[in-house]
Amino acid sequence: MKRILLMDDSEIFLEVIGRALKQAGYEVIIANDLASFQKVREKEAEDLVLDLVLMDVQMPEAFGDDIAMTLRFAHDVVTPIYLLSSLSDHELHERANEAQIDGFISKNIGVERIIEKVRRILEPADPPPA
Amino acid sequence: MLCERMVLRAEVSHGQREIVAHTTELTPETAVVRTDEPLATGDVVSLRLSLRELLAPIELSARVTAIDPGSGLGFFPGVTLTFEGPTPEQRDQLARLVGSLDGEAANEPPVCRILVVEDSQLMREHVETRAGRVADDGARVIVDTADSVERALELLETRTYGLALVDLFLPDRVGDSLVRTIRERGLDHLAVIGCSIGGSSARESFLEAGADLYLDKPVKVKDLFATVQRLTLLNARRGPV
Repeated sequence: MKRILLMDDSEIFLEVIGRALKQAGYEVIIANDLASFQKVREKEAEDLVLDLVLMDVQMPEAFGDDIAMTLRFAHDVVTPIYLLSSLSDHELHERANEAQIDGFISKNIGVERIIEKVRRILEPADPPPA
Repeated sequence: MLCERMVLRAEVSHGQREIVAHTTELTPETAVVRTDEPLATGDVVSLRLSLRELLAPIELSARVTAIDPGSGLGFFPGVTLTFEGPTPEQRDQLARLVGSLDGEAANEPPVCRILVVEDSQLMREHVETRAGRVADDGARVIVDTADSVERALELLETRTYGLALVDLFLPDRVGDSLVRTIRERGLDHLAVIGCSIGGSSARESFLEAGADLYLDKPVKVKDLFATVQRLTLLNARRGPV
């Protein structure tokens, strides 16, 4: 089962998207602040394998793209990292590009399409036969 | 004054040992010497500073007051030596030496050294990562980080900073008490920004303690560094007022 780390400060959003991702067949680990995120990172350093990180941008303690950039450059994390936010696509594109992460998913497209995008990231279609 | 690129010869005598190293920072009170020789905080050494063809050597006694382990391959630890009881003549010599290095440094890009006091390891790593990616825009930004008030005070004892960014919630004391201590110690040249997710009460606490500015978290470090860079460059162009 693919494992997703979902970081967001909104309890309601975590509940809604977390439940939808679980129903779609994924294991979901939730972090709602820096302290809980740090705990997940410590477990990851031991033996926890993550397949995808979904990160909100506007959180009380830090911007998600700043955390993502730190994971990429200070921790050499290679797991796909996507911003998941209701900011404009243009803003998200700029931030993801600056942090040199894999991309973004807009919260504004609704739960079903968010799950669809996650599925495309984690289960890309098999390449056509040669 | 920071003289990161200036190589000032430092001959350190400690007991029977003679160490030849170079100095990367010099103030009228302290010198930071780069060496991997075993020195410990509290050691008293004899120090001979010289700058070939520019100045007569200065010989004086000093005490090891801090050791920064350094980072990266090829970087020796930075040993801070605080001069002990310099005579008025030695003080004059040091002032002239610092002045001559200032002159040499006039062609160097201006530097702002920032102290970030933050208990979150991830955020400390972020500011360090960001500092390493600041574009060369005519001024340099150098960042040190501290995870507690105690560590911040140690760094403030040994280095000169232009700006401190202080979080409110720290493991040993609250950030506004650090700001109060900074002002009580007369570090008026140091611009201090308090930050927190605490809102208006945190703002009041920091400003009452002597902070120059308060920022709500999250702080966009990239923008802060860009602002510091522009102000550093502006100050350097204006020269001393």
